[in-house]
Amino acid sequence: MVAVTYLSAQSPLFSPENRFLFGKHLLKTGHAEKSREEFRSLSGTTLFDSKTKLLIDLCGIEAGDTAIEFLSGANPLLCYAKGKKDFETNGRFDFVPGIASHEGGTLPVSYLKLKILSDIKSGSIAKEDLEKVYLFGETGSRFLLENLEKRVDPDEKSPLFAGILSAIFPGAGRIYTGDYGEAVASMVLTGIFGYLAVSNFIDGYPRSGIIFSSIALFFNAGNIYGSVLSAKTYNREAKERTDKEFLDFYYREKPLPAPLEIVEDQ
Amino acid sequence: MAFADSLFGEGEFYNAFIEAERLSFFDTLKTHAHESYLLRGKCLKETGQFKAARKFFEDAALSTTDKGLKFQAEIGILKILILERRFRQFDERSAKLEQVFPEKSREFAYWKGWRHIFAGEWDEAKEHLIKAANADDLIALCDSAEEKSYSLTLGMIMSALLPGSGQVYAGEYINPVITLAWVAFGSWLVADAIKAQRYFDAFIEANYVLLRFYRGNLSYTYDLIERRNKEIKNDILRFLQNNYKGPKP
Repeated sequence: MVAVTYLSAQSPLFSPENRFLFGKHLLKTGHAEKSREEFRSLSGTTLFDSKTKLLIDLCGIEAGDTAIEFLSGANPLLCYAKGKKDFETNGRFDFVPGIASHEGGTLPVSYLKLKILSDIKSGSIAKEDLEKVYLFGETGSRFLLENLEKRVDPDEKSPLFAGILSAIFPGAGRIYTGDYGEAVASMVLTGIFGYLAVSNFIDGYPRSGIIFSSIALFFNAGNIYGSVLSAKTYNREAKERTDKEFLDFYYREKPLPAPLEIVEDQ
Repeated sequence: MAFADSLFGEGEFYNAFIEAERLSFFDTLKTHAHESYLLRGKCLKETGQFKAARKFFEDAALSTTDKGLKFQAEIGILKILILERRFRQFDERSAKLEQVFPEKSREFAYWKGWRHIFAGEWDEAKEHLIKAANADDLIALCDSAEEKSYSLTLGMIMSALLPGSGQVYAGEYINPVITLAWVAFGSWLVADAIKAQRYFDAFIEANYVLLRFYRGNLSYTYDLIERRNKEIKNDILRFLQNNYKGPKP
């Protein structure tokens, strides 16, 4: 193993230039930790310059290294990269004022777009930022405005109201939450057992009347509880749907350039 | 490539993957394409990334004209399909491959045997393993699994004749008593309603009480026996994973 490792290290594949190229390839293909190793191995060579240090820092951010100490010092690109990573991991990031207001280049625009996306996801965005949603293009901005609308004014159903409706009339709560199949089933079952209970009591079969009453009550209790759950599920699914649409848009359209792309542009 | 292979041999699958990737990245003439794809597929397979591994094995099969190397890559794909329990795809792929590699029928029979072991189909597994030859240990294991397994047909017939008895057969004792009690109660309700000539009551009671529990008894028996057989299958697979020395998926 040692001999093989030694011989391999002498191979041209491990020359500094090739390690640099391969490091970038690894970073692009999602192997940030390994990419960092490649760039670090350039230490002591002429290739270990400010760009390589910046790439090492980018790799650290991509690899999710929380205790990172930047080699390349304070750099707006690293703020962007860290913000983007935090946004993708937690859905939010710590905005650093000043970066987005720089003149020209891809970075300020990308940072502003990141802020807009993060604000829309949280459902709260300043008017002046909202006015810049056009940066996402026609379809992108339309989608984002619709998504924001769903967050600000969600289509929610009240669990309490659903429960009360079902208590008054079996199945009504389910109709309110759009669960029509269950609504019909609740109405039919509670109706049949209720009818049988009454009919047995009237015809002088109190024992059967009690049994059917118990079943009817059991079904109706389940129907009320089910209506409350149905409203809660409706609300949860609506929120999940909005989040999923947002994530689908984010990963499909890729509105933010990868930090490495910005480095390459620069 | 030797470096990547040695890392793989040491169990450093991720490092081996990266070194194979390096080789591929600089191999503009694609002279090591097959080995590199194959090794990356093996590394991903070892780390449980079956879907990605399958893609690399497919690329490995496409990147060579050598029949032996192609076969090696195809077997890699078949093994992954077994591990993923994609049995239909396995059957289709192996049927096509058997036409391309007719001389490898014993190897195909061997992996088909494994495919049926993973599906818990002991008779079929045995049938293929006999054709494969040199798989006596696996055949003996299939025999013992068959003996330990519960018969779904027998369990269902028992539960149909006496509710709960199929569950007792599958080794459960409290639930069958409750099942039997509910079915008995439902039967009594129906009989009582018929006696009083309240046929609509009897119909509703039969449908929502008696048959509901009777059907539940059958469906529970089915699930229980399936679960028990799955446990037996998993025990056997665990045993094979830890103790079997021959080739395995």
